[in-house]
Amino acid sequence: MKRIALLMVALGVLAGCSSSKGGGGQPATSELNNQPKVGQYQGFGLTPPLPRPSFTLTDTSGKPFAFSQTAGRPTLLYFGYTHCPDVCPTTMADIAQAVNEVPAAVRDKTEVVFVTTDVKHDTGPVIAAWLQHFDTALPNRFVGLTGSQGQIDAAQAAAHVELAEDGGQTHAADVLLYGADDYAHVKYLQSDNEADQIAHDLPLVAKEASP
Amino acid sequence: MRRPPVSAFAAGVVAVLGLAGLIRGAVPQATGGPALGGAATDPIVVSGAYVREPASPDVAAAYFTVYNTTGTDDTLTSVATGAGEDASVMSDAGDTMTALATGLRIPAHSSVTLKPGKYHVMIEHLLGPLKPGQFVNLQLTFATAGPVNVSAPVIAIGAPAPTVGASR
Repeated sequence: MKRIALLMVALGVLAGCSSSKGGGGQPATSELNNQPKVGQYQGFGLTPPLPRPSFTLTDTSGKPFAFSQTAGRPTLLYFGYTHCPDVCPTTMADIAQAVNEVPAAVRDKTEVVFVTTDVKHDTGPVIAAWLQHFDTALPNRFVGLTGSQGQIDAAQAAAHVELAEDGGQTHAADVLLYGADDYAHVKYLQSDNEADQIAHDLPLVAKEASP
Repeated sequence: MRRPPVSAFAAGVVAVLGLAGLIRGAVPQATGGPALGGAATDPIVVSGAYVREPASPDVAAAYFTVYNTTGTDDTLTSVATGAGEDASVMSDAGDTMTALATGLRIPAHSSVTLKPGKYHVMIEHLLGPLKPGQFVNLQLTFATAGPVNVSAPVIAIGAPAPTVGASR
């Protein structure tokens, strides 16, 4: 209880810092107007927002999957690997919990896409077996994607995510959330309250109007 | 709001410790454990241990809090478990997961909490599926204190981690 309160205070301080980066005093009104959407999210705001990337990989049934198929829908994108004891499954569980918590109208539209960074180990069936531990209670099953190393690298580059190394085991832990406007205004990192942050922000990005 | 009544807190601690399968009588039940400054008699007290049900058939992670009640630093040097062929203490620094070659230092009169994104024990080459309700035996070996045995419950993938009275 106490720790949560402290954490919230710490986050509040951080938010305060980021909105007054001019170095003391109130930020200029024009600066605020240039970043109207950052402050409302609980995740890490992205300025400028990142456009929904285009890439085509292979889904767990072996069929091509174009990420553009998710256009217009709130979409969570995560790069990871299944032979991962800690951050990857915790992150997927956080995502599942968040999607389960939002109103049904948002939940029904939300897509979750997992892209492996370990193409040698993570075949379609391996990814499918892994994902079913997280998504069985949700209306939209998670999409699991693999491909050649070159395709995965290109997908990460398109999403502006750091390229994974060491056979995919060193990878960016960011979860990107694309909105209905096909931009990611916010991303997440594994933390104690990641699920709450995503659940808070999902309905907001589901309403983002197209630019 | 800041702090629940001590009795409720202590009861919670006892309940959590009981749930966590803390063994070897490391914690004096009456005081609710080292978080409240109780006189722990063992040099190393482990609490809040759990293993999250793995989504992978090959690999799982164990988490716990280690409290060093002594006046000298100690080091968690190795872990053995009945759940898998290999177990190692891993650090998650940023995006990189690395084995702690020199072990995990537990400073004197301090606790270190293994939790997602920070530290974990990676259990590899699982000998069978791990399901909620099961317990995983872990033998933690410390440079000074020697072996400490812990029984960690397996919790469901989406379940919240047990709250640990001894963490700080």
